[in-house]
Amino acid sequence: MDFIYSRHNITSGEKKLERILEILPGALSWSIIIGMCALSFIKPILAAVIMIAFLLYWVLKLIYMNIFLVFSYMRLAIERDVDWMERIEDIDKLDSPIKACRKKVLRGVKSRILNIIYCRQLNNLKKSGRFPVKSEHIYHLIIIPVIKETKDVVEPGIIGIKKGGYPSSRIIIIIAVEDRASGEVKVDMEKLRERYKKDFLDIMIAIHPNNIAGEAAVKGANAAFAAKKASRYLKEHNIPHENVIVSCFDADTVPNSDYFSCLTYHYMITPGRASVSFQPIPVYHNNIWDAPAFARIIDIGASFFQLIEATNPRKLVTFSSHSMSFKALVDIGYWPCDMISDDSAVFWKAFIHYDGNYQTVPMYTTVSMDIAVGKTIRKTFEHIYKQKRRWAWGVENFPIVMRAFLKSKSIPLYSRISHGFKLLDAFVSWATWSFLLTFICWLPAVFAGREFATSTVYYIAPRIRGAIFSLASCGIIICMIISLLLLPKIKTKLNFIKRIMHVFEWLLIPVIVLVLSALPALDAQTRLMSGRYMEFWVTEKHRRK
Amino acid sequence: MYIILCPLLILYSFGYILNPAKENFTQTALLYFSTIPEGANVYLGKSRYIKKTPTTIPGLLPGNYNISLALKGYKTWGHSVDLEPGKAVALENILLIPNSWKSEDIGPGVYTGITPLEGTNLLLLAKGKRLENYFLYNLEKERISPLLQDQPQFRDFPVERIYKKKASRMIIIYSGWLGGRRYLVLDVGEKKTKAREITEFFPTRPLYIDWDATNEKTIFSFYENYINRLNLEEEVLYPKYEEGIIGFGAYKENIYYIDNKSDIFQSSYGAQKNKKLFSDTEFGERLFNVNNRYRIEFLKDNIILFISGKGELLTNQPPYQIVEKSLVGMRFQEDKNLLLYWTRHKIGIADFFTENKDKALLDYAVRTHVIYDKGEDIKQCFWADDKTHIVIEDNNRIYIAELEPQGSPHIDQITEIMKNTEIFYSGVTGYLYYLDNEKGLFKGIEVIPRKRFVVNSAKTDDKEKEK
Repeated sequence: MDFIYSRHNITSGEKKLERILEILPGALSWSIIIGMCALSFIKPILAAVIMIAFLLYWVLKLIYMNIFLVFSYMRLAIERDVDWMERIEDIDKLDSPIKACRKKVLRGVKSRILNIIYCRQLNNLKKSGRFPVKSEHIYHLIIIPVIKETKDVVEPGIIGIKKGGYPSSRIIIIIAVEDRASGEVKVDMEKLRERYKKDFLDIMIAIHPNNIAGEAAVKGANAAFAAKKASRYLKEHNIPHENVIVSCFDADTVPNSDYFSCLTYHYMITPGRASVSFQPIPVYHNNIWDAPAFARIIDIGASFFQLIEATNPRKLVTFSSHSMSFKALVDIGYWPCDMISDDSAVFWKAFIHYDGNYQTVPMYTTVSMDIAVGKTIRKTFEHIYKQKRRWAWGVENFPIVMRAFLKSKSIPLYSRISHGFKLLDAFVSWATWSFLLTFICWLPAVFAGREFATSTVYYIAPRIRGAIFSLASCGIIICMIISLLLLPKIKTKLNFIKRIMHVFEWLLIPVIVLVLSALPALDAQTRLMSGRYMEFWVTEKHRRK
Repeated sequence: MYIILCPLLILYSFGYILNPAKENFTQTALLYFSTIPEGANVYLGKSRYIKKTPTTIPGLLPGNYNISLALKGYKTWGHSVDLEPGKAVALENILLIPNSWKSEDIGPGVYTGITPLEGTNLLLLAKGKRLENYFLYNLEKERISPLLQDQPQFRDFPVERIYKKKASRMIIIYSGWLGGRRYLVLDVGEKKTKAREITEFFPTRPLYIDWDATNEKTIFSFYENYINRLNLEEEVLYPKYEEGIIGFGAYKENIYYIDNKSDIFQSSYGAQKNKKLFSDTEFGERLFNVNNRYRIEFLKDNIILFISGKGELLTNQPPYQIVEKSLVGMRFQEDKNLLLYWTRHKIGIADFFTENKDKALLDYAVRTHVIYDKGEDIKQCFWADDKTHIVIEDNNRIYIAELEPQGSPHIDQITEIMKNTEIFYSGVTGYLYYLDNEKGLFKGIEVIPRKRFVVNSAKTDDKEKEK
């Protein structure tokens, strides 16, 4: 479907529709919050009943999410042991892997589970009737947009790529530097290029000029410029785009050592590889022990969210550092140059372009990034708040996606409804649930008039609430356990003590989620609603030397 | 799963349970108990409930239940309740009566009278009829000090009557004809009480004296049909400040008066700008009797009382008359807009909160009901413990009465007091202060346990401190 994935350069009719759809998420969120407050005052019995229904929904969803979190983590843990290069070699031998996976003698539950997953993937490929591409034809293109980051931040990622299990001789890196970056940054990137150019197929620097017409000061514009340069490079070197997998990493991203081998494997066995994205699990381990507790918890929560989302690939949307077919990227016109949320926008852009025949494949391997730590606790708080607000600004995709869905006749109706609803629901619940749980569910009792205070609801509602919160606390315990398993070890004697203290940090969750998740989300939606579009604020990242 | 569980949960919250006998859903009722002290066993009929107070018993079939609450060291509390489907009956703050009340000696010496200064943390204690025999008791600091520390010229001032105002630390003492009909104004303080003679400003004895607690510089004295205004600071008297009036009161730096046509006016201090608030001669004449004299009191900005010399209690809200005659006293509960009032034989509550649902006829309505009508000589009543109990002084005996959502209140005797003396119940400390009937010792009984009041009375404390 031909569609301009932007709120600019559209007809006046579309602008009006765009504006209405921009207002919708924020209006819904505020209506829920204010409406429930008012209802608690005017009709406390009705408000109490609605809150009971909401709490039940919330706790069932929490249980559901916890179950999938556990499964997802288990898969992540199991797949750590996979030798992806061996699998790549197996796939290169075409037919035999299918027979091999049937014949394997396996010992241990882990091995059996891995084999079941492997065989299922191979069967899907077989059913599709498509052949896997040979690994010798596959190249990796990594784009690293940089604006303020020095080599201290960027270099560990490059080292991680170099030392990974995948041959770095098939990897091309483009460091996409903004022209408005400081001289120090440019010099640093040049130094990195010089230092590592022999370790990869090539390292290039792309300087993204300022003030290109039609572009905003966003990361997507920088990445798109670099991708265009890469496209010319690939043509010059006769490398077909369909053989290239592009990964757009943040400047601080350090991929797991098996990332590219895992990615290559998935690319090879995914039938519609030219119309998929590949999403790893983001973790924030680069400086996790340097960050204050609230920062640590909120970013671990983000990892958990991605782990849960990975269990539903049909609705998975790309987030942060991810990979995709370079051909697909070129076909859809690269990343949007006027949107902040380029990571999710590129998915929707592709989804619309391919008439709904586009999805994200979850990869159970990690990419590690920095927690946005500042020089002081207050600064860290500000950085985290702004970063979460920027993430929540992904709501800017909603009006554009809905316009496309309303216009499209080729995307199946069910797909449009389910994706549209999920998109809206995700943002509205992100902004409102914490407020409902923390404050509003208590309001009917506070405003209880005599009529309410003499009803059974008045007395039974707190018992139900107590039971639900007790049940929910089991979810917190599961989160504590998984976060302990997920955390990297620290090389100090205090490893054990720090881990135990980390467990208790989860008790701060109700406050942290309210202030550093729900509030930024509501902030972002309110800005969109009022037409105050956000300028890009680059998250400051510091590394302790 | 949600689609199945959600309606079941909502039905449960409304009290519905599956009744196996009838094979359908039955709407049940709920009982909630809380007691002071906690931990009482709950009996429904003869069956004992597994939990102790405070507790909720849901899932009760509608009907009549005989409830008993039992705790060691306390009298068993019993009551009968009717439960309706879907309704909750909350029996909160049930004060369990100890088998015997423990009194404490508060201060040394024998006393002959107590005069509380309402709205402050002070009590006046008298050992005799002269000012030198008066002492001040601080409820918070639990300290007794002489009322007059110096000014020896007033030491033998006879005290016949004390005029006081709620929340004011100023009192006016009248000596009576034996003392030469003199008036003294005292700014009461623990460290220093300042006394000043103001007899010259009272040519005759007024019907009553009033002032606004927030402005103690100005005093009004109400005579037969006029008021005098006295500026204490400048010691200037404005005689006949307003004339031709049958009722008067001071509130928030305004004076309010009823003229002999039954119109009600408001006038600000000093400015003498009269604003007519009410004028309906026919209605006014039906409400007010021009031969009576009324004291106007504001409970809140929109709740006004008119108290006649004959004990009639009127209000500005329909049905207007609360007590026909012989009102002895009243006490207002601000949080819930409840007025406790009593005559010698009856105690009632006027509820100013309830909105009349038939708004075509009336905007507001005050609902009154008599809660006790077997008094012998009720002199004082106090609200106690979040307005679920009242302390009553009736014929020199002190009782604690429990107000319940259903039926007559439980009434238990606490103690006996010295004849013709006042008592004071402090909502802050939970203590009843009185003079014992044997020796006149100043004693206290903790009626409502103190730690229960740490949270509840924090607000009251702050309000009183503000005042």
